[in-house]
Formats: sequence, structure tokens, C-alpha cells
Amino acid sequence: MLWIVPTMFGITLLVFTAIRLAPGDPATVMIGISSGGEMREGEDVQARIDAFRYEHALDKSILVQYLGFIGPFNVTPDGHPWFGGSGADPWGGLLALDLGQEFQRKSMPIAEELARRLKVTVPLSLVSTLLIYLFALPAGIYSAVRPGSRRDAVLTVALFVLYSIPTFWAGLMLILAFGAAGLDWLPVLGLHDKDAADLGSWAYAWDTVLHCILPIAALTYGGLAYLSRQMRVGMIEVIRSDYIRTARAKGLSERVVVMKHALRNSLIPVVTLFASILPLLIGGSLIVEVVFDVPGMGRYAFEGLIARDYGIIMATTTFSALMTLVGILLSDIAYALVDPRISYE
Amino acid sequence: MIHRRPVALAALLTLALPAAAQEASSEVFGPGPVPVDVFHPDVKRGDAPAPKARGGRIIVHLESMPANLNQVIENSAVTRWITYELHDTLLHQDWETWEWNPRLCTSWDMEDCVVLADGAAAKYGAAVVAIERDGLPTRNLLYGAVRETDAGYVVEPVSQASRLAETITVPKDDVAVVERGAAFTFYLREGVRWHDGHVFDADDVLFSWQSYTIPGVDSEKTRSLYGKLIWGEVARVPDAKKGGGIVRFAFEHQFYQSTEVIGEIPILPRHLYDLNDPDNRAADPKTHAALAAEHGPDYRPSDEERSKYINENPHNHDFVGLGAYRLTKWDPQYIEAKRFADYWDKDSPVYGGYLDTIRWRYIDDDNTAFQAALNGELDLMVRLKSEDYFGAATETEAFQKHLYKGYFYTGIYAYLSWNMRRPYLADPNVRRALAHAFDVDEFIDTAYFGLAKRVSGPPHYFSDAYDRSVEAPKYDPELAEEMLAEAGWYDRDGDGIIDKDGKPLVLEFLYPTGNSSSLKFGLRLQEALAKIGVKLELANLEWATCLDRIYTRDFDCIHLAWSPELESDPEQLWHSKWAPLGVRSSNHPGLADPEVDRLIEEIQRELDRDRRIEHWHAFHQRVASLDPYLFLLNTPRKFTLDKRFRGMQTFMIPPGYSLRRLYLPAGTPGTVAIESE
Repeated sequence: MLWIVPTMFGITLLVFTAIRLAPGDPATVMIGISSGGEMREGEDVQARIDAFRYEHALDKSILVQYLGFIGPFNVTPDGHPWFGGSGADPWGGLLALDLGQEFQRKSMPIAEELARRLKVTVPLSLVSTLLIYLFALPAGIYSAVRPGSRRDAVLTVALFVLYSIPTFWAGLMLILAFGAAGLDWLPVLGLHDKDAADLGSWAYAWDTVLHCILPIAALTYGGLAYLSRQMRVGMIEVIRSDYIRTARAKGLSERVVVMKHALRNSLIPVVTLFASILPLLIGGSLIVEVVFDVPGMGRYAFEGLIARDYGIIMATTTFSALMTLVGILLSDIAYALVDPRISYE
Repeated sequence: MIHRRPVALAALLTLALPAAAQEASSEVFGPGPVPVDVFHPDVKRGDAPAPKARGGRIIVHLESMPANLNQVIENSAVTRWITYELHDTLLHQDWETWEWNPRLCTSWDMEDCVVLADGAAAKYGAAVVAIERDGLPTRNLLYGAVRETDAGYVVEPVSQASRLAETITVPKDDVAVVERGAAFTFYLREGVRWHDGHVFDADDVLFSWQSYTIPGVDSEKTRSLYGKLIWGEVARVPDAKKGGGIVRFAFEHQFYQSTEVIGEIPILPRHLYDLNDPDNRAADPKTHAALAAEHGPDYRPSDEERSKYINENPHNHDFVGLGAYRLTKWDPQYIEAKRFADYWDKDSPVYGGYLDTIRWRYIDDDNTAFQAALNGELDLMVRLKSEDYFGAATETEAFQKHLYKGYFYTGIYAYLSWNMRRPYLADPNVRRALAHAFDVDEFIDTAYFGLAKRVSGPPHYFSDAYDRSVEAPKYDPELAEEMLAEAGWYDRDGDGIIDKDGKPLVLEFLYPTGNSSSLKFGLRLQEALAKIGVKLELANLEWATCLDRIYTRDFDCIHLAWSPELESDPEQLWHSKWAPLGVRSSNHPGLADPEVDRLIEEIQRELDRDRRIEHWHAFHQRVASLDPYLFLLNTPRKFTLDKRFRGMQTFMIPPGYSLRRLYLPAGTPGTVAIESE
């Protein structure tokens, strides 16, 4: 667990370096965004760029900027006097639990926006993950206990087809199939109807449920296919082991053999996958969020990247990295729980 | 990249013809009445116009959320479009007649300025306006209608509350220069109220200009424009209850766009933005009174405090304006405004608005926005893609059940900018040869179904500034090959690519990622240039990276678009002072031509429209002859609108339509029929 701190530090340094090496200047982009692409006069453009860089401490050395991100010193013009600031707001950065403000919306704290986006992304992802495990495990087991059968083949093909479908295409197909262009069964945009504000509590909740169906379906199908394959492989491996043969030789029913003796051991690789699912769960899906116009964290990260808003990029990647590390930690703990042979000292 | 100038400065009408007539390719230039609902299926069928009603809501697509709505510090296109409904200006250029009409003023006067020579000011006493500026000598001027005579300049007072009591003659020795049309006096309308109920007056207008002079205010985006104004005063104090008053301004130099600049200056409510405004004490306890209590009775806020107060003012979001609609909600996904009951011109059929609510719904992805329109989540979308407009997507029952489509022209034109700093593109004959190699007309016919217009130069295609006698380079690949050979480019090594000095002519075609129009054009150009032995390599870059390459001038050719106004100031794009490497400007090709510079300066100072149009034509001819761009086409904007809405008219002024003219027909649930207008 102690390794989390230096690992996090290393990740932030790596991401910070990578985005600074990437082409694209946030000042130029921001001015482009702000003025709809208009560049009036050279002198004016340069003055605007200089002012932007000064305001966001982008005119300082890269080390000072990194320090500004890590904290606890605020290195902007309002920041700590050690870094040429006025001293009005001397502390900032991660260590001061301050992720700063967005470049474009200056009055918007990144942490506040991040929290708002997480409120959208996490519930969607939680339901999606739940559904993935709910359907993937039985499907994997079903396939594993009938390897080579026609049903296994059909299931395998179907899941491989699902797994190979790109999310953006699947999203558009869902919209075309269930939206007004197709069956017109479900809403396809956002999380609420345009008149949701006028609805009562129950109607509002039902409206939200309807709006969530397609994004959740798009979030779920790929993971479902992947996890069920993992479950199948793990289960087949276990079923072929000696102790399962022994259990069968003892005359236990196939149900008891599978559910009691095989399942727990075959869950080990599936549990480890949780480490990679957690950050995805928190990070959301950029594509799904864009296609269905869901204002979640994945889209926030993408918006930050397009605008070269270093604060948003660092905040979202750091948060995702932290979730990855937490996921690994949780899977290690889960490992020990599902397999008594494993222990950590 | 789309080049958008302030709405105030743009003005040109769309083709004011029914679709059928437009399809017949007859073009109309100049002002005139714009027909209504020409694309609406019922109107096409010949049905009678629907009777008007007040009420209802429209949901309009917004491709990006504005950072805020304070136009002093935020000049994005979306901010301008939204504040057009939420705010008002001193003057407004009528979208049909193109004439400037008074809005927040009842009338205005434009006068000349006589700038006095050194030492002459004392002779003219109180009539002189002495303008002190940091680091510059005092500028003394007289204003009025100026006539030149043998005895000197006769200055006659025209405006009310003038400093000049009577007509005087100023000897020529006393005059440094005469700046024509540089002084403006506005007689403000009484009884106009801000959305918070506060009365609007001359102090608001003066403060709005002054906000540009406070160091630290984030107005870099428009400071150069309003920095041309060097003096302002409240010439008559407003009535305390009714507001109004007289306000006067002077420009440093005569400028052909001075009416637009001052007429549409963004106006801030002084009582909410000025720390020195006594009324602000009641409005915001954190401001003047609180600071005075903290620092003593003689305390006056510093420029830093004043600028910070403007930059970070909560009303930048919680907008208080003077317009027909007032902001009621700012959600992360939409902005909503409702009709302002106390709007001073609420019964106007043009400005008053019929709908109760306007909601701007933010959807950044155009495909998603189109699906939203199909699903009834958007009523108006003006970013319909060509493939959807011309394709099956708009032929489906789901679309035709409740939507219809149409198009209109603004000044947007697409171009391919050559980098004239590249040695192989420095020769104008090479650039002209490349232009001859591509069949633009065929591209218009196949990619735009003939709807786009071929352009030959930078002025607005539908304006008088555009010289229709200038012919675009004709498609002639044989001539292109001849010209390249004369310039020393031919295939010496037999590899199929022409070369010179041992180097093959290989060009990189740069375009922003995700732009399908650019890709389509790039592929066609690649094919065309291959026929004359020029290799074109397509490179798409994400926008931030693309911008970097543009500003560091690291490209061979780049496909972009500009949206010029009726008479855009051409300096930023074409003057040689913005051409050198290292200068971040919009002169991407690096054009530096003394004749072009001279013509730009003449355009800028010429107030006589007819003479200015002559300069524009000469400018158009000169730029076209130098081929800094391959000028391509003026493209139509394509929209989809819910059939329930009527009153759709399209204009050349961005955004090209007026939400305040849209209405729901009488009988629509939730509306009240209008008896008469």
C-alpha cells in the first residue's frame, strides 16, 4: 500500500511530461475557442497569449509548473511570494487538495466539476459493471460446462461478435434502432427529458431510467463478452484439474461440483480483472458519453485534452491513476479472500 | 477553422429567394425584404401564412458552451448569439435594409474632429476637448461639421449639448489634421430598464467604454477595436428616474467601421460592475461601501481591484441585460431565457420576440445533435452536415414527420492557403499553376450539388466589395503543366513527380481532424495534382496541433475557412506587418505586398462608400493576382427546423437567422393568438 504514494508521484510526473511534450499550446487553443477561431491582429493575439500564460503560470519553468500542480505552493500571480505571486492565495496544488480552476471557465474549480461529472459517471458505470458480472459469470460457466457443444459455439460466436463491435458504432446503432429513426421506444440523448424539470419525483426517476438504458447497454456489452470469455477459460481450466475429477469420482452431482468446488477457484482471474474495471468504471467511457451526450468524467477528460487544459488533464488522469492503484489493492485483498493459499505479509 | 467577427460588424443578406428560384441560380445582391418560411413544406405547397401567437418554447442547438456572457471579456460567437437575444445595443444594422437604426438611443449625430496643432488649444477655450494619454502629448480637438474654406476650417456645432457654442473658423495653421466622422453623440432612450429593474442611462454607456481602459480587464479580445475610441463623456446628465441622457465619444482617427464599432459596443450595467458607482452599494454589499469601511472614507478602489471585480463578477454568468429575453437558467447542458416583461420594445414584430422561452441546448457532437433533432430534443439545428442534408437521413419518415430542412448563405468561404515562405511556393506562377490544376466547378457540382459559389478573392461574396469582374483561375491542367515547366518544374528522373534542383514537388496538405469536407477536398486535390506530377500528402492533425503549425508557419498548404463581414477590415489577414515569421497573426500565407498594404490603408480611412468600394475592387484584383490562397467556394449553411415553428427568415449576418422572428401558429397549445400587429 505504501507504494501507492511513489507510484502516484511517478504517474503524475509521467503524465505531466507527456502532455507538455505533446504539440499544441493551450493559450493558442483557448484564444481560438474564445473567439470562434478569429485572430484579429498579430499584436493583439500575442498580447492575449502572453496574458493567458502569465495568468496560468505557463510562462514559468516546467519544474515550477509541476510544483504548482503537486503543491503546496500556488505559483500563479496570486500565489506564493516565493514564486513571484502577490501572496493573496499562497497555497494550492494536490497537497493542498486544490486542483485549480479551468482555463476557459475561470471561476469553475476543477474539483467541483470533477465531482459533478463523477455523480453522472459512477452510477452508470456501477449499474453497468453489475450487469456485466451478473450476465458474464453465468454465461461463462454455462459455456465452460458444455465445451464444444452447439450452444457453447453459438454463445462463443455471439460474444465474440459483441466483443468486436466498436462502441461508437454500437452506440449509433442503438440510437438508430431504438430512437425516433427506428422503433421510437427509448430516448437517446442525455439523462433527462427536455421537460424533466416539470415532472414529479416518480416520473422524473422513471424518465432517468429510460434515458439510462441505451448508454448502459453500450457500456455493458463489450465487458460482458470479455468477462464471460475470461470466466469460461478460468472455469474450463479448473474443471480439468485433478480435484474436480476426484469430486466427480466421489459421486457428487455436476451442480455441486461446478458451483461448490470449481466456481470459487475459477473466480480468481475474474477477481483480478476488477483492478482494471474500477478505473474504467470511474473514468467512464468517452465514446458512450459523447454519443449519448452524457456529461460524465470520460467526456470531461476528452474536453480537457482537446482544449489543452492542463489542469483538467492532470486532474482526470491522476484520479484515474489513483483508482487503478486502489483497484489493484482491492483485487489483492480479494485474492486473499477467495484463495486462502494467498497471503500478504 | 471558422473566422467569425463580431455580429455588429457583419452584414449581408442571404439569397432572398424561394428555393425554386435559388435552384434556378439567379442571385440577388444587396438589401431587400427577405421572404418568410421559404423552405417550410406548407409554404412550398402554397398554404396561407399561419396566424401568429405568443408563447411556447424553442430549443436551439449550441455547439459549445460560452465561458460567460460578458461581452467585454468574452467575444466568442456563441456568446454573441445568445446576448443578441438577451441584450441590446445603441444601434442595430437592420438585417433586411442594412441600414443602421437607433435602439437604445432615439437618434445620434456623427461629427468631424479638428485636431488642433500644438499651442493652438488656448484660443478656443471651453470648446476644446483635451485628451490626456499616458506617454503621449495631449490631443486637443474640436468637434462639429467641418468645412474647408480658404480662410480655414469652418466648424459648425451639430449635436446637442455641444462644447462649441457657435460656428467658428479655425485657421489652417491651428489645425494638425481633420478626422472625418470621428465624433459620435447618442441621445439615449428614457424608460429602458435592465433585467434587474435598474434604470439604464448614459453612465452605463460611458462606463462600458471605460471598462476597456482599465488595465487588467480581460478585454484583450476586443481591446484593439474599442481602443480606437480615445475619449468619452456624459454630455447631459440622465434623469434620475427615467434614465437616458446624452453620451459622446471620439475616435482617434477616422475609420470606415466607426459606426459599427461604437453602435454595438457591449454595454455593462454600471450599478453591478463599477466599484465606484454609488448605486452599487445597495446592489452588492461587498463592494464600495464595504471597502470604504475597511480602508477609510477616502478609499478609492485601485485599477487592480476594479478589473478583478469586472473579470470575476458573478453577473458574467448571472447575466443582467437590456434585451427582449432575460436569463433564467444556466445549466451545464443548456442556457434558458424567458421573455422580459419590461422590455422597452416588447411589441415590436422584429425585436420583441413571440416565444416565451428560448433554450440553447449544448451538444458538441453534430451527429448526436442530429439524432436529438430527430428525437424531438432540438427544434433548430444549423450545423446539418452535407451528407445528411443531401443524403437519406433527411428523407426518412422520422425526419419528415416533424422536421424540414433548408439552407442559407453567409460570407463563409473555404480556401487553401499556400505557405509563400516555402521556396517551392514562393513563385506566383507555381501557385497559379496549381490553381489551374483543380476543377473547382466540378467539385462544387459533385460535392455540393451546385449549391456552393465559386469565389475568386477575399471580400464577402454577396457584398459590393466583391469584384465580380475578377475571374477565378480556370481548370486547365495542360496550362498548369506548361507554367510549372516554365518555372523549372518538370519530371527529370522519370519517377512521375516533377522536380527542380534535385527536389521533387511534394506538398503536405494539412487539415483539422474530423473535418470531412477537408478530407473530401484533399482527396480530390491529391488526384488532380497527381495528374500534373505533384505529389500531395494528406495530414490531418487535431485542432490544437493544427493551430500550432499555423502560427509557427510550419505547413505547405492548409485547408480552412473564413467568415468575412460585409466589409471586414482586411488588415489582419493581408497586411505585410503581420506577415513576418514569429508574428502570430492571420496572415497565414505570409503575403507582403506594398500595393496591397496601400489599398488596405485607403479602405480603412475612406468614409465615402462609393470610393471605398473602388478600393475594395482594386484590393480584390491585386490579392487574386498574387494567389496567396487557392480561393475555393462560398458554402451554404444547412439547417433543420421543427415544422411547428414559423417565421423563419435567413440573413447574411451571423448567425443568419433571428429567433425573435420565430413563432408558433395560433391554436398551438400554450400560446395566445395575436389579434393584430
